[in-house]
Amino acid sequence: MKSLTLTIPCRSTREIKLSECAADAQSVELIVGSSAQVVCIDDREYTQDSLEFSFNCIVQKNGQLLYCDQRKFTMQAVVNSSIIFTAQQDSVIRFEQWQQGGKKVKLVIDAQLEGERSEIDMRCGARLTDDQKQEISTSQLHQAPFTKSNCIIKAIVSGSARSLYDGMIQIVKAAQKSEAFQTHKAMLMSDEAYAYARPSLQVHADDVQCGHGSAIGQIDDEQRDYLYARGMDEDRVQSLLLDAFMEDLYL
Amino acid sequence: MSDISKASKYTAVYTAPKGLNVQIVRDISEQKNEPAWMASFRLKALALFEAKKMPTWGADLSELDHEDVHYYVKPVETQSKTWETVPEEIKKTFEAIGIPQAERSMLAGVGAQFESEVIYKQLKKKWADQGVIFCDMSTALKEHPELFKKYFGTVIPSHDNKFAALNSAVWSGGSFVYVPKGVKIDMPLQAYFRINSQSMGQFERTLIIAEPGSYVHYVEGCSAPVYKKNSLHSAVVELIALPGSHIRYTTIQNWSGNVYNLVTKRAVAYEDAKVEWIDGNFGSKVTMKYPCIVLKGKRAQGQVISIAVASKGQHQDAGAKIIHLAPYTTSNIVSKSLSKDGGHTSYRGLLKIAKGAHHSKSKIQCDALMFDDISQTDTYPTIDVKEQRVDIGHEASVSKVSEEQLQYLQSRGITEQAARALIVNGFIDVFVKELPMEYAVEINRLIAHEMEGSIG
Repeated sequence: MKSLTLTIPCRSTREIKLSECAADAQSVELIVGSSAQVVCIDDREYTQDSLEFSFNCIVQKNGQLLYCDQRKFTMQAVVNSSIIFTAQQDSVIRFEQWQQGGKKVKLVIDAQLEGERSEIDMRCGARLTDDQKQEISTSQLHQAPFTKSNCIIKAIVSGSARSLYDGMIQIVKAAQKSEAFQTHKAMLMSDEAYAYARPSLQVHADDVQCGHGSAIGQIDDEQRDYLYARGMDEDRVQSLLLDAFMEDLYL
Repeated sequence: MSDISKASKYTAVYTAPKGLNVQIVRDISEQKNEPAWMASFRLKALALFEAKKMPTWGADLSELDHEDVHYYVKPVETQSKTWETVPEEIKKTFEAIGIPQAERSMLAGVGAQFESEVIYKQLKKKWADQGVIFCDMSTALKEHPELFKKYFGTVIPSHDNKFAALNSAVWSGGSFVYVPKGVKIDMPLQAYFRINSQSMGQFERTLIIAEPGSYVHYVEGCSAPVYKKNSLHSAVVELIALPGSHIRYTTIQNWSGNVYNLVTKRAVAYEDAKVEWIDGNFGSKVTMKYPCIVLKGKRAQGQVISIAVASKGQHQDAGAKIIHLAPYTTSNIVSKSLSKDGGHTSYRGLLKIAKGAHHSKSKIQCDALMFDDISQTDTYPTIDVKEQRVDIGHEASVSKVSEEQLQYLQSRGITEQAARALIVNGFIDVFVKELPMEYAVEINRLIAHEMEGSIG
């Protein structure tokens, strides 16, 4: 696996496209220096059928990182990715992902809130069709006080596709006044579609706000009928309601 | 009146030696004068128990020593039909709990189990005349063998898990309830389970069969005196709700802090039937209990409302399992937990929607309240959906007593302690309001006692 380390100097502002600076690296380490502001877009396209990736992002004091994962794969690809985010004091990390392609896609995200007042926000969306399988596992580990994390996972599942989610929020004793939330929503569009969710919490501190929610369902009949009654055709109604379902995924 | 945290002094008629082997299982069966098929059932279950490994998930069971337990203690020779004939020392305990008084005023029937045997069982004539059967399991095996054999072990087979196998091998006591077609018992039936001896294992087995269109509310309470050595309570409860019937099963468990409470509870609900588990977990050292409802018939309904309170040295690993197998089935789970003084509460749940269970609906809500930073609370729900036309929602939250709510109440002249108590009562209200009035009052007192120092 080819690897690359990118270090962004303190107090600088950068926009990075991995297709330009790390085209063939599957192991990327990104270090965002103190008070630096970075937008990192992973817009690489792959034709291989089996791929492994590892990303390690460390954001130092007061740093900010927006990481957009827009990788494209073939519909036969088996993809395993692991991402570690480490947020140091007062830093902010945002992660957005929209899955494009892949027959079996596994994504493991490990969010570590190491420094006081650090924040990590992660949002992943997918429209799974045919026999695609998506397996997402997230961990939000709060190690310091006043930290905030949020994770939203949404999937529209049709054909015989499968969406599996395993989420964990851990708040250690020292991480008082922290806030942690996790949401998983799956919309099942066919008889063969399958969704599985296991959102877990482990809380050792008492003065925290912590919660998770999971919802699995189909397009709401009432909403659909409301739009039909206003003269929209079936395709338009479906696309409007599915867009609405995904709406809060992006910041 | 005696204190329920202290043991009664009495001499048991028979106490099995500590440990578990084929001979002890044979002895239990002989003591009970059981038919050969039951002895064989027990021995097969013992082999399963020995073959199965201890669970590696959930609470810590490493201090549980299976060899340091008396698996059978027979307190009296014969069961009593009136409180007057119950031995004085044993009666004192049940009087302290208030069982005889409650029987007179508000119950359709009462059973009292002391150690391994049911020492008192009584059903009001009105219900007996309508064909209701309420007796202990050994009596049911003798007097209603066909009914017993038809349903016994059908919901929870011996091989279900290690502790179900253990219970199947050494079971003794518990209640057998049969409600005939269309009979609605409008007062609760109550059973009370008391462990009295040190290093004692209580393995009661309860089987409730509700024929079509019937209704029964069964209430069980449990307690044990405080000892240094651990006791084990491993029950199996099977509920069969036939079409259109309704079973409500309420548990108020208040074991002392040295009891391992490892219970398997499962219900099957057929077409249009409804099953409710109302589950209050207060005492024990370790509780691992996940009441389950299998919604097998169309439009069947299941509800689990539970509360768990864990203080110092306690781990309440409780939850609920709902399996939707038929269309138009609905379920609701509400779990509330409170942890204080280093207590540990966990919600562990499973919601499964099988293929074909279309138009099923389920809502799960688990809320945890923490009182200090040495306590711990976890939530492990699993949601597994194989059907498209369903509506599933799960929500969980963890918080402490809110400063804002406290200030609001204090600004209206309520003291901080009273305000905390009010907030806690509000938090558990969803559970308390499901209880009969007498129990609701008792639970509020129990919570105040458990939370002493935390809510004043």
